[in-house]
Amino acid sequence: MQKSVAITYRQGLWAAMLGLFAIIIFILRPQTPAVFLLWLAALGSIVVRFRFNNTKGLLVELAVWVFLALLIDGIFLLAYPVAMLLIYEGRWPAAAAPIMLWLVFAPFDAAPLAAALYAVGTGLLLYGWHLSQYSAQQELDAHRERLYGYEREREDLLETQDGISRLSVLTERDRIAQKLHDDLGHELTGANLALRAFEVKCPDSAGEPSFQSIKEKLEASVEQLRESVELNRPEESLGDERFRKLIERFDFCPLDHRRNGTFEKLTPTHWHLMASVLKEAFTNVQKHSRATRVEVELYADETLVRLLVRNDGVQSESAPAGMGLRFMRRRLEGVGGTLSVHTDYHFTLVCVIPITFEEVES
Amino acid sequence: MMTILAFTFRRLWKQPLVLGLMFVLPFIILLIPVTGAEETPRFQYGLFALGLMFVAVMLSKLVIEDRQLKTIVRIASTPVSHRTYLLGHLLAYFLVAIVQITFFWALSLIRWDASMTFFLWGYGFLLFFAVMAIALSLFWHTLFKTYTISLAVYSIVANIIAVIGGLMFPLAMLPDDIRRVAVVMPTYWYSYGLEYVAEGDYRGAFLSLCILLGFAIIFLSVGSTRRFE
Repeated sequence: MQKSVAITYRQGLWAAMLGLFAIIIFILRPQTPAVFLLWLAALGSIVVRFRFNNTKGLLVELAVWVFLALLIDGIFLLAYPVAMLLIYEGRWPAAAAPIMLWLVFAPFDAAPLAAALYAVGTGLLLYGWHLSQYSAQQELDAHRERLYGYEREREDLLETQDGISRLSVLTERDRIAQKLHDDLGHELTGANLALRAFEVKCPDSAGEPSFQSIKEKLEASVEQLRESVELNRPEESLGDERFRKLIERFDFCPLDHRRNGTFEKLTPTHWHLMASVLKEAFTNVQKHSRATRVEVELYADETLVRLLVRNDGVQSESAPAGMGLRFMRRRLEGVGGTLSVHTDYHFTLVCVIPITFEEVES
Repeated sequence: MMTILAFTFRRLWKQPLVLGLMFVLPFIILLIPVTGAEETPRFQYGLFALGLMFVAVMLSKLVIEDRQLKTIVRIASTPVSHRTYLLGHLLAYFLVAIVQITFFWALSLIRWDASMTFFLWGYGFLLFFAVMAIALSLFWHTLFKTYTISLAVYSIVANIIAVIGGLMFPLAMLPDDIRRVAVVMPTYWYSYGLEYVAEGDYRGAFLSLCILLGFAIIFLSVGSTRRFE
């Protein structure tokens, strides 16, 4: 990366100030100690303000200077740096005061006039410079902010992708285990029972070794099937279970959880999305609010599922404009859902997801 | 801050050359008699102030040395703030300078014959000048990376400042054009102030003291910027 060697407008202001003070020294010759002290006080106050980045107390400083200057006949010297600084900062009405002061007190000579023109000219020049640098800085900041946003989104996307692939593996394993248990398991158990009935019905043929072997094998396969179903069932909680666990673990403040409607049609993806929204909402509550109560309301019917999270803590104003929520909203919009936020007295978050996902073009 | 102050004293104590020079210098100046129409030892006080400028820059060697040897980086990693560090150092230099000034001043009381008012004002001027000189050397050392270069350039600049500031000969001998430039030198106001004292204009002398202090504030504000290399 190329190192920037551009002169900042601050350095420009320094140079202009020194130039102004040099002009006062060489042209106006403030050789009496009082005038020089005034000159030095102006320089010192500017140096101190710039060094310690202090823009407060300017009025006090001005009052002190004016008081000092009234004691001696050098008051018009004061107008130069003040006018220049005020023009540079773009405070036009305030800049009129030192210029008026100068008009009243300065002798109508070529030298003070030249110095005044220099002060006003450089002030204007620096003001323009300041403006252009400021807008460039703003633009740079906006770009930087966008870049950070993209980076964060990329991370979130990777995380989501990871989560979804894990979720689909787990769902599939769950489905297989269910299938094995429901279909094959029942068939095998049925066969086992039928065999036992046969054993009771025809005790003669039950004594045959081949029958015993069939019976043992069948019992062993029922046992093996049960074991594999147990092993295949995912340990990580899925769907509704995960959602409930999130609610149980929340201990920041009392929580009120209500649900109504039918939840049969919800797929693991629905639960996954809602769990993500809930997690984000809980994080926000813990980070940025002073909530004393949180409500979670879940409703589902044939067409949509709606999640509402509300807390009574006023959202602190300094909180950044929810990058996490923005990202969540984009994810939900990707499947045809919405996420809306209301902040009046409460902070309310409403998430709606359709039961049938829309095909959304990326 | 006391730890830093104590260590600074200990390190200063290890520079016998500087300390020796500090106490030999007054004796050399004391050999110069007050001659001509002069009634006060203004010229001798000027020479001593020149010596003080060099003493200050040699004392504040520690600051630039800390930067050169990266000690300042290590200090920055401790809970000691930059302000405490600077305060400890500057206070130590100032205390050493006070000892030297008092030593010179006490001897000058015995050696030269002038009014007590002059000596009292003179003591004040020496103190304020010492503050200014220490601030100036702190500022000066921030401009350079190594002590040798800093001292070499300083010895040239300080001599020029001393000549046009009227430390080496009376201000009246300066041409008008140079005098106009010389007002930006702190040394000018030192000798100017002593001239005022000799003439009995104490308002001017007081303003000159304020100007010296103003210079010190400006140099300190610029010189106190933290630099690591």
